[in-house]
Amino acid sequence: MNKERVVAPEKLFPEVPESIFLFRSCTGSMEYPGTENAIKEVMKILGINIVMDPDQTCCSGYLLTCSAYKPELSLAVTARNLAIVEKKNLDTYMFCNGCYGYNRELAHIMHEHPDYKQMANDVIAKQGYHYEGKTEIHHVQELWYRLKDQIAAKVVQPLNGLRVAVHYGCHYLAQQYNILDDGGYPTFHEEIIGVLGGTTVFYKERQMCCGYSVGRGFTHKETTVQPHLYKKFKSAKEAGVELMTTCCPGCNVGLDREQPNLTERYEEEFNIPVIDISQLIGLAFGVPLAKLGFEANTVKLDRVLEKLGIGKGDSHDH
Amino acid sequence: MTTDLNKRALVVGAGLAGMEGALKIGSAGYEVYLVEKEDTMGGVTNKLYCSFPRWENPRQLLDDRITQINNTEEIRVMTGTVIKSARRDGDRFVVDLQKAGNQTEQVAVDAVVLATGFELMDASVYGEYGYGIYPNVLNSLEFEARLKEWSSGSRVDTPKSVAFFKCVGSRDRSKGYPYCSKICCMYTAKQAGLTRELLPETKAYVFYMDYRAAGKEYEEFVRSVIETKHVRYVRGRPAKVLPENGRLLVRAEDTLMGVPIEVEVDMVVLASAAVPRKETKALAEMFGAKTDQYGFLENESFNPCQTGDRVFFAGACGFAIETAGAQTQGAAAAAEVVALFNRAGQEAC
Repeated sequence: MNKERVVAPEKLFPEVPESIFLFRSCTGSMEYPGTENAIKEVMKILGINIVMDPDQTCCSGYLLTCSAYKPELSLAVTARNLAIVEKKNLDTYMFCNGCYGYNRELAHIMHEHPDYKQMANDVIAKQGYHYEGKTEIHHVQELWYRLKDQIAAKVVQPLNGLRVAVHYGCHYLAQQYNILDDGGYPTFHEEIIGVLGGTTVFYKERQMCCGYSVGRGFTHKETTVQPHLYKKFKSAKEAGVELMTTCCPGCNVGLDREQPNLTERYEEEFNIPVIDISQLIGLAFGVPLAKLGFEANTVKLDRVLEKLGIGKGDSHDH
Repeated sequence: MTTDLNKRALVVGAGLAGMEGALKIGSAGYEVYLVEKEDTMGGVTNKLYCSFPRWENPRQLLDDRITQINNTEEIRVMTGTVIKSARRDGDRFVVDLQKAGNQTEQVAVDAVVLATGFELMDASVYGEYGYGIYPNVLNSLEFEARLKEWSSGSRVDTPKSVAFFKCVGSRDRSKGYPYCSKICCMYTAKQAGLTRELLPETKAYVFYMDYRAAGKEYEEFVRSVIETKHVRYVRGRPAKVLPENGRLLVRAEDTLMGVPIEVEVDMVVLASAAVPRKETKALAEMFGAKTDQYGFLENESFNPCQTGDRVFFAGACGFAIETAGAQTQGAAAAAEVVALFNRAGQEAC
């Protein structure tokens, strides 16, 4: 394991915060609203207060990746969002790898180049905002890892050996510094799933990209994305995976929405539901199903819920 | 000409460079303490099965040097010994040595040659290559031990296919080693060639960015490995090593063909960056020597083997070096020490 660039969770969070600013994700809200809700429910159980703000907009990553705007302009979007958080004197917690990556990257640019920060501040000053650069940017999953023991203590619905496979997402692992684990061979999600009572499955294509960013929404899906995802799901199926977790709604879209197309094209059934790791923690914490929003999933969780003995009409649903 | 033969030198490290330095200083008639932390002389060369570019067994070279050292009464070999501390006293150094069993000894010397050698970067910084995760992912020194075992017959399980990765760490700014480690192109060619020679049924692949064979007979050596030993050179950096059917799957790009490729192998050998030993920096501080940003010893201007006042250096503690170069540097550092001692002797008259 790459120890030099890995940060211990206790170093990343010397103290567990009482309140956090939860940064909404466009993809998360539109595609899988259950993720944000699951985070709120789990944080409530762990005693951490969540603050949000309706004025917070898209992280600006989409503007950049679609080359719709110059980075100088999306810097102002980032500065404005982070200025909103700074007013509340909180640190920023993302639950999307895209939001995490772009905010970190752009905040870093503004930190290293004061003239860029000034440029962004000049733009947002017209709306009465000012960004200093003091809010720290974290990923919610990092807090889950920091609170692994507390999470273990709150499990009321153990996963009973459910075979869970992890998908980390490139945009978290590709961060060069200050991430929780070795980007080349991470294992911290497996540890979290372990304390929930799941059996973690190391399938061969574990670290293969979700396919979302290489063109799910754009062109050449048939030549690029589907053969790639077929490889990934084939290896997960061979390893006997029953459920896959992500920590990014974009990955969830790539892995969940495309499965019926794979089945149609390759005439092979996978039926591997994909949910956010926060939703899985919520499930193990006994959060009612209605609050976890699995209805949004293309590949249904029926088989998983049946195995765990959770069904409609159970106390779970109240 | 009169010389003062009461001068004494300290050589730290009994690898090829240190041994050569001690031998030359001793042969000139000056006393030498040759201090080595390991129990035997030879350093990294001890671990090598074969040297390049002449396919020689370095054991013969080492045995020759060890015999000569043992026959040179001016040299006192102190294996299993480390330098605890050193302080300057006029033109001399007073050095505290720690031997096995916590025994200590104090010596006074008039010049020092640092020859502390090198080690390999911890290859586990590349999680994607699985060093430390999969048992058959080795670094190149560990593979050298396998070559010895296959050659002697003490190990019978042999791989059907071996992949060698070059530039693991070296030339990677993100890992903090922007430099070329210089020796890996040659020793990887050697190891791949030996694999084919010892295990003719085994396939050998070398994944490379480019190969740098600048040295006498070097280019011919690499070409011979490709052309007569049929080692397959693939230009492209591997992306990942994955477990597959009890073997290892190497996923890479063949940049000459412009296609992604997958090769199933049984063993992966990582040519990790050559880095200075950690103790080199501490020793340099004790003796007032200079180190560079990586911890290699740094020379003073215009003198390629001097690193401080009365402090010289030789071998891979200055930068990665092949066996012949280490010997040359050891002899050069010795020449500096002998010249210094001779001159001091003349001035004293």
